Amino acid sequence: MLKTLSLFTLVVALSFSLAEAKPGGSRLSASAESLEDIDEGFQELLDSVVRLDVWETTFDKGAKRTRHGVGSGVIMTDEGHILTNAHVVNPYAERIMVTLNNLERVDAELVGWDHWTDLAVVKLDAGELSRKGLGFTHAAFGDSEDLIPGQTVYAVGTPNGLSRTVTRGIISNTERYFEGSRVGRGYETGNFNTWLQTDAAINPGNSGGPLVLPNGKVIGINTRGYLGAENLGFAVPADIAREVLAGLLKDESITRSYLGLRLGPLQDLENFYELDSNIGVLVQSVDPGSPAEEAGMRPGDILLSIDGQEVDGRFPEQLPAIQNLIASQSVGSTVDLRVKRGFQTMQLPLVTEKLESRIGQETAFEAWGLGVQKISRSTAREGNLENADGVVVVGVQPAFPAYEAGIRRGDIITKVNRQSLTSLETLESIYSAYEAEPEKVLMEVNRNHQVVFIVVKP
Amino acid sequence: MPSKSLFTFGQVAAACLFAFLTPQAAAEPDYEAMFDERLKSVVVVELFVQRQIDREPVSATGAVIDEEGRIILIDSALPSWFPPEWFKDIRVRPPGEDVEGVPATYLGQDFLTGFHFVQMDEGAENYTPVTHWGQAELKRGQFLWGIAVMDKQWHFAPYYLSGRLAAIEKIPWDIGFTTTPATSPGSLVFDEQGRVAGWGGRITIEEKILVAEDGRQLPIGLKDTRDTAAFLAVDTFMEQIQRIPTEPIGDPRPYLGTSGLQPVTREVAQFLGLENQGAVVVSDIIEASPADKAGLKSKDIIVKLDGEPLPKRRPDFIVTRHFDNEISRHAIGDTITLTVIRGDEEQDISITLDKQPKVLKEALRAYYDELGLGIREFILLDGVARRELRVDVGGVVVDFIKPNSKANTAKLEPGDWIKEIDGTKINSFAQAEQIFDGVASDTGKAELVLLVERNNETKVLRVKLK
Repeated sequence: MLKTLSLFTLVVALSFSLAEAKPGGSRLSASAESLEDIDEGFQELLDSVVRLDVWETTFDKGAKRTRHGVGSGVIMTDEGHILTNAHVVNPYAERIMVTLNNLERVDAELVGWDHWTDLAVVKLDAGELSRKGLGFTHAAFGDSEDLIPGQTVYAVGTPNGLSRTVTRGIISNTERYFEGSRVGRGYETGNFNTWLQTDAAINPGNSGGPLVLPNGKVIGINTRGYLGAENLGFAVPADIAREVLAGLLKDESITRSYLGLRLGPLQDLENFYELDSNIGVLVQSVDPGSPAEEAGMRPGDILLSIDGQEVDGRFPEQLPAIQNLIASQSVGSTVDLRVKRGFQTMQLPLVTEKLESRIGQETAFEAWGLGVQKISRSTAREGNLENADGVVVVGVQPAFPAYEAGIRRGDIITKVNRQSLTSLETLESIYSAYEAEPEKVLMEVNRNHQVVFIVVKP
Repeated sequence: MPSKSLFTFGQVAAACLFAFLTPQAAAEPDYEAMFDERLKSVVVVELFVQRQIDREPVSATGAVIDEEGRIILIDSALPSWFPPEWFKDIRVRPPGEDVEGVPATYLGQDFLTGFHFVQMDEGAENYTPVTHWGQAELKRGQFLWGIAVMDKQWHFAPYYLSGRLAAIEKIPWDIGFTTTPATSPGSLVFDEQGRVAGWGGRITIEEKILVAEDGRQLPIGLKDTRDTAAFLAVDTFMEQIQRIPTEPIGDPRPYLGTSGLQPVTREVAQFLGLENQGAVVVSDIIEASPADKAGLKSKDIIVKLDGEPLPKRRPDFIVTRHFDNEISRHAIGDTITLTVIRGDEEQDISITLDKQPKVLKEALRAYYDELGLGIREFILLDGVARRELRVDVGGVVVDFIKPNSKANTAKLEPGDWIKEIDGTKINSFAQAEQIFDGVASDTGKAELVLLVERNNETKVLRVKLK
């Protein structure tokens, strides 16, 4: 068990950002199966799988830089909406180029993304399509809930830059659990879903591509694999992807609720807490300043039900569904939690807040050689900061003013010229004044809770 | 590795030979005789540190400071975060001789310098106090020589080293640097006449650039195995050997109640209108501390202490040490005046120093072998690390976990702050001790449920007892 757990840390998101592998060699001929064995739907599916080339802006060197990555996607609507991974495309994308199955290239734009489920939607440029006289087909979802281990599945995508690769395997597990982790620039992911595990070969670049049944129905979006392991791939189930796609098409983002509870499996604690079996989930931790803390919830409490709906968190794989139940409450609404503490059972009403990422907006101030990210509420909480005012330094460029003045990655700039940085705009306006007329700037920095004053000189 | 040591030793011998071959106008002082005499002021202290289940042997070179056989050791010679009763079987022996040595007693650590003091229980008459040799007047460029000491397999063989005085820097004590290593840590440096020039400091690191075959350059530091080019200048050394603690745990220390002092750089000082002086910024104020009561605030910039501007020091951070030392030189109950800049205003704040709350070595500890769990009282340092800036937090932290023990299986980790045991909130060390004592005697108990805080998050952990 221990060994397996430690392996979990090796699970990585599968975006592929090396130079494109050179296409080479001759086309391999004739599969073992005859053409009649291949479902018509499968052929259509192949036509709707695309390669995504994404150029995105990064700020981690203290300057704006462009990074190129390659991933996969699948067209899901007749308007040309492509479902892919959030770690393939994010709001910092400068250009998204789609290569259709017929090798034609079309630009696309981000519609919306949801790093919590690692999904994103981009839309093909309709104008360019009609100018070039291009058409496409789209795929359809299957029901991931009906899957059983052992069923044959195919993964389609662009592993290591090899476009239009099809690999075959089976469903190895239908509800693999991973603890919430981080993806891309540190965005939280994986808290609200379990994963389909498959032994179909999945490699970096398969990210965002579909996991499909022999009939071509999409039952998952290939998202993760173990580096260094063989045949251990993981896909976001279609039932989750279907909801997220609909939500992103409607609102361009997914709004979720937050209570501030970190849940843990009850496992064999039922006896200790004298619970009926299969009811309740352990409250492992309560976020300071969260609705749960304000309502008086405490670590060690057992959450029994949410608005009368009983929860069962005996095993880790049951946690994402409970977390999703909390997240799907409407923001600002009151939910009634039934909670057991010791031998006492109580009813606590909580008002939900909007769930926010710990990763704030990023930018770079190039004349200072300084890349920053706005501090989020949860970073402030995790780091035990007084408030969320300020920006965290994500990169400094050597020999530029910020670096020369001694600012380093990880520093938190709380004030500039004695102004509190309540928003990124405050800093942006100070910076534009500096750009217009370079002058010394006094920065107040929090470095591991030590106060450091720094003067940035032109 | 013996072969490597041999090589190094050979090189040292060769270096000495060179020194003798250099033509000298005046008659060469008799270093052989001076060396043998002054070796009587240098000793080796051996002991072991008894932890929960492990022992760690320690040996260090020290200087004999008086007729009663007291010895001074440098701060890094012993792990100062452990309680002194963990230092066992202390013995003192002359360098270079294969002897058992004589038993000795730990006298404590001076809070100002961090230096440790030990006293031999017998045989002091065989040694010569360092004060016997007189004090050198230090001048840049002068010739200095010293006694260095090998490691245990060489029976701590002493050998001669020499160099010239390159510089003296206030960091914040007067530290002398020689052109080449002239002694080893805790041993002595002398001038041409054999007067004491200083006392060997920590091993110095030589800064080098490693140039790879492809031209890539990597800055690296080369650390000697046992020699040092740094020494505490004799005037300061003679002052500091007076500071023998009255008890092994150390003397009560004056306390201001600030945390995370940071230096102000030249640019920032100029920005604040300060010329030719140092300044320190206060990061945190401990609740209910003397600083708090007097109204000192986080982010105040201290520019003067008792009317004296803080000095400039290099590197910048030395000014914070200077400030700490100046505070530590005061007596508990003394009132000091800090001049601080807050916003755009300068103001004086008078603070009456109190007694320092418990430090790590003073924390109460207990070890439960059955659980493989060592616990320790929660002290101010733990509070500062967890942003609980007060003394009265109470409670316990995990100090030690025995590998493959019940505590280890439950995934407890050193540093975990135990907040609840079986649903009972833990407010003091005594309370936790009582509960764990009870667990040890209760054979019917199947498990222990702990609520711990780790990295600002809480976890519920179960220790299976059966």
